[in-house]
Amino acid sequence: MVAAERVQARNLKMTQDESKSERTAESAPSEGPTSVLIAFGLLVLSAYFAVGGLEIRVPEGWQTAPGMLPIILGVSLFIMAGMLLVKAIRAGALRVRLTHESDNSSVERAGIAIVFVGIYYFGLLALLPFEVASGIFLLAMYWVYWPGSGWTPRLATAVGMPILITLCFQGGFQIPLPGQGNLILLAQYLWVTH
Amino acid sequence: MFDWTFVVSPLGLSVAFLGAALGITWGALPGLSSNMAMALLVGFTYNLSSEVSVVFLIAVWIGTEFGGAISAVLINIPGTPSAVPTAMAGYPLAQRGEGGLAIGTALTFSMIGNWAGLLVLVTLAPIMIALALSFGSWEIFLLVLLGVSISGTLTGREEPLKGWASGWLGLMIAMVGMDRIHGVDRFTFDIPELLGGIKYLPVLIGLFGLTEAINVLSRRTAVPIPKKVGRVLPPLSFLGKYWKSALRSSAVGTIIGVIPGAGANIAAFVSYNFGERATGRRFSEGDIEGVVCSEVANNACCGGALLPTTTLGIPGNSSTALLLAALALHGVTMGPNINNDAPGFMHFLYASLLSANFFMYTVAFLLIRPSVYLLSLPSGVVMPTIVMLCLVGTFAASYSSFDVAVMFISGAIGYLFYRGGYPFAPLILGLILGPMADENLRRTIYIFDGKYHELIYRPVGLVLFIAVAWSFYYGIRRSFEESAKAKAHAKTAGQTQVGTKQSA
Repeated sequence: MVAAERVQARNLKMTQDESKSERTAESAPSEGPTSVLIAFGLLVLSAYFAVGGLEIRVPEGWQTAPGMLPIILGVSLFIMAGMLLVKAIRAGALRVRLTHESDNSSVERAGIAIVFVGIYYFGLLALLPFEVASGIFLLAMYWVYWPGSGWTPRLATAVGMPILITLCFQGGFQIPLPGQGNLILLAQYLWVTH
Repeated sequence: MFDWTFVVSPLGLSVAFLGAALGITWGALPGLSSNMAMALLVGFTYNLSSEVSVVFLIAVWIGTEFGGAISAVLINIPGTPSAVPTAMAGYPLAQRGEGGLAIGTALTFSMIGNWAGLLVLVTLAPIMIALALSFGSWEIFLLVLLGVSISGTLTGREEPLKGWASGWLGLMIAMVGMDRIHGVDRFTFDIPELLGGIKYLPVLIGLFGLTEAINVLSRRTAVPIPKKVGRVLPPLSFLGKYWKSALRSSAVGTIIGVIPGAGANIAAFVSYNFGERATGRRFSEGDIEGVVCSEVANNACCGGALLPTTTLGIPGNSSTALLLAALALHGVTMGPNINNDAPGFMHFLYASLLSANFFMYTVAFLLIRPSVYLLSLPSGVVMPTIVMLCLVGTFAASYSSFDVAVMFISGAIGYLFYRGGYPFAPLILGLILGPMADENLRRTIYIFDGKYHELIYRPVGLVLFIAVAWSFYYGIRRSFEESAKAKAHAKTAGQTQVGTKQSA
């Protein structure tokens, strides 16, 4: 009986450990150069807030000084970031390389996505109408992230999706869209005026 | 003024139906979480009335919480993070051809979980409101600190320090802009858009929309779609068979839901572990009871999370933070004065939850089989559209390109934070609650100037202070324990390597 209970307890422990490890795996990648980068960034930012807090004007007494909480937060975050930085370095985060091919590929794919999104938000939309900018963006994204499909479905989706969104949001909900003008609205205007 | 009869009007019912259908479909798509759905839709509700917005967002939220179970069970990719335990217990069932039954059971018990959450909300909300009205500045400040610290401790997992750092960063970002007491500029760099502070909606859309889209795009996943779903409707006997698990998981879900920042994913994991302990079985080999534990808890969490959100103005989780943001767009401020600020809101909310729950159950049975086809949609097609919707959603809320820039920066930094293992929930809490913390701390210091010892004699404040201290103590202790474990593990691994070399 006791032996059976022990086996059951061991099984339970195994299950807990297993689910814990699955949880960890699900949560996020481990310590690496990113941890050092973030901790360092937080260190700089917190120092800036703590020092900047001292320079904020104090209209009445120190009790209601607008810089008080920024100073408290800055100092405490500085300590936390320092601890995180030391921990990450001691855990060998600087020696860790992205050795796994999947890691390299994952960072590369994320980097490409961020660059494409940046170009779309701040480049294309500043120059072109919403539908055109979005069409170009989608086509570029499909080219990288939707491999194996022919050009016809890619082109059709890249053209169709912005039109659908414009019709739905601008036409249906009267929500203005970003970008330099709007082709569908222009077409609608021309149709009505002529 | 909110009138609950709107919920049962044809328009209210149609909106709830649409919201539930959209939520279930959204949740079923791998990688599209309930937070992402809420973040994107908040901006679009700007042009709608407050009543329509609340009914719609609640239905979407409830729908996505269940929808995550569909992809979790059928293809082992949880649609939402809270469906991870559902995938662990349900996917082996799908491999045995019982996927439909697992999803049907998940649906039925999700509804029970929702009812439990609602019951707790209806019972405790008036008590909480009465209690919260007696809070002074000191108690409110401590409450904010408690929310951010507990959220950091729980979501930081092995490293609570990362959770706290994330929360502190949120509080710091909230300090940007004109201060509420004297109107002094803080960290605005003479940028007029920063005078009003960094709005939290673009940050939320960036973190939950853009970051998640980038995240999914960075992975290469080939999804095998099941050919057979099997029977969907669970037998009635399941209710009698699993009532104990349902009851236990309801309690776990609502209690965890009430804790600020602790979301449905934590509730689902805790309930799953409790279930394994209680039954002595390993759910990961495929077990309906595991699905029950996970789904009841993550749905019960919804009602629980609404309790601190509505009564204290402190979001119970990220989804309620987004609901808070949506209501703020419509001029409704949640908190102890909710009954005066928005008369009838609480009853309206209860009715919306009931309606959403009803439609989730009915619509889901219709959508389970068609949603299998949705699973075959490649993420390379879905995610670029999400990126586009992030832009449209942010722009729709304020028509500001500055907010689009904030959203983009938040998304890019969010991806870095994800890779570094920093949780988002404390950051969001800090960002939303920062101004409240600032105002109440300064007010407390001003009121109690020179007689700070009097703060000890305030019982609620004392309890909250002890809770804050305990939260930090618990986090630090866990951090040390994890470090010791990691060291021991490294030592054992080293010894094994030496032993292998010697024997070689």
